[in-house]
Amino acid sequence: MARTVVPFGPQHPVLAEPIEIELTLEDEVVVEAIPGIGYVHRGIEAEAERRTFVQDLPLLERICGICSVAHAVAYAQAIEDLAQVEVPRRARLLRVFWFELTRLHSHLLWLGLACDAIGLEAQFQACWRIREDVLDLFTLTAGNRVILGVTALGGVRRDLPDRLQPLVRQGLDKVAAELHELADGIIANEAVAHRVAGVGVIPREKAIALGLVGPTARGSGVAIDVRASGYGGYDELTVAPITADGGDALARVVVRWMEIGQAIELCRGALDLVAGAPGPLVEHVPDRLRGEGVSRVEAPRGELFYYVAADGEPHPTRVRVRTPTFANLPAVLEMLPGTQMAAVPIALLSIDPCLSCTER
Amino acid sequence: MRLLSDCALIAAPELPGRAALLRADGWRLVTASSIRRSDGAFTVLYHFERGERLVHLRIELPAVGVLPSIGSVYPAAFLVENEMVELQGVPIGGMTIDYGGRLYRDFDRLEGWVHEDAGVEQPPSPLQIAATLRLDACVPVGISGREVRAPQSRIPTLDPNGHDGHAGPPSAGPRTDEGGA
Repeated sequence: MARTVVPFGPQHPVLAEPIEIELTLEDEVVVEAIPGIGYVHRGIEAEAERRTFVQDLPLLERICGICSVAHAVAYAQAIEDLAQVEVPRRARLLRVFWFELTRLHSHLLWLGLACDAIGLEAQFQACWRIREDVLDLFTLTAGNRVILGVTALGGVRRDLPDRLQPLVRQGLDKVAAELHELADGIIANEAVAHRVAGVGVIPREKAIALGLVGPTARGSGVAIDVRASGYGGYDELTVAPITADGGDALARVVVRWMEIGQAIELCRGALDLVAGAPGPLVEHVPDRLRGEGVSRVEAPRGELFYYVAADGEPHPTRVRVRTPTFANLPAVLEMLPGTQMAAVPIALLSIDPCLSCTER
Repeated sequence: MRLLSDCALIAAPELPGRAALLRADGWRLVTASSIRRSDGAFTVLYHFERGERLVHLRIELPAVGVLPSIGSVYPAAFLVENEMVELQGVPIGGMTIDYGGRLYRDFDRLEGWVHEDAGVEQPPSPLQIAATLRLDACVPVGISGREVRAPQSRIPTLDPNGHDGHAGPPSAGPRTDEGGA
């Protein structure tokens, strides 16, 4: 049968960011898919080698607007590992709070995009309206909507006063109630299940072999979640990896939906602990460092890895960032072959690709 | 100086074998990091995880050395290895999917994917040809059935007499005696 090569992207209605997938088709079925990236490469890793350790924090926080807190915390943890600095308990718990709030808004953003891709405009608008409530909580607690700027090397830059706690809890309750109303329209919606079930299947063994991370791996039944290692303030909270069987787009929808609820619970748990954890917010980190440090955090899309090397200069020798989408991109090689061309957008969207992160 | 714990220093040829042992033992490839030294040598680190524990393989690669790929052991390594080749210049041999040093798109020249050894001159594959032609993938067809697109390629060709494609007479500027009205 004759083969046709179709460029999918870099501009496509379901893609929030540019990526090109070179699809080779036989009739309407994909037989090969090769990703092509480079449309939003900014050379941030190289730029980080020219700035001081402190100046790198706002730079790296801007790798991605959606998971800016994840990048800031991961970089800060790598520096703290390198400098052997112990972060104050209150700061660790506050990081957890903002981190989980980030996961909440990231998953809601993705859920809205997914609904939009399958034609559920009302649900798309509802998800993004609820996400606005989460962004209001960011504004309330951090003063910013997207790039929070709350993380510091050795701790955090902002406190969460006890007088704000009732307002934050009210906001979380409101989000939870709105999501409860939305559940019938998305997670229990037969149309959604029919549209995404069986699309983009990645068997558990393949997910392990490809080293997939985050909800993409957990949707294939792989119980991998860096939070379970108890880094940062997660050692005081219980985090059980949420998994689903099936390995298809539906399983990944279910995992993210459940993780939205889990994130709300973790926010509440962190607030409880913050209330009883007075103390300093930041520990001093030396200006010049020597050695190597690594850090792993569970960003909304999965494991985010940082490696930092320093040789005694006021700037790092190397900052290496391995983002979750970079780890999940090989999944397209596995899940797209055999997929109908019409299902490619849903399959691709189901790994929640973030190209700003991937290309840095 | 604090270096990574659980880090083994190995020689470059040992890498695929050590990676195969780790794979068989259930370790997941997290990623690889590379540092380019001022003398042209490289420090390459491969990071692996199992059960929330990290181990690392460190390779000190001389400027003239070649690092063997671990793509046959960890299929997903092709992305990070291609990235190290392009962004850091690490010489890696035997990659399962070789982007030919162009993982990140270069918009200033023709592109294509090279699946063969980058060091050997190969005729363009159908995929490369398709990638070259994709700029004109949408060809409008008139009622007569003939293509109605402009005949020339969208890839500009420079004037051989000029160095930058702007060597012709100026289209604007002060009038001259010959050309002035």
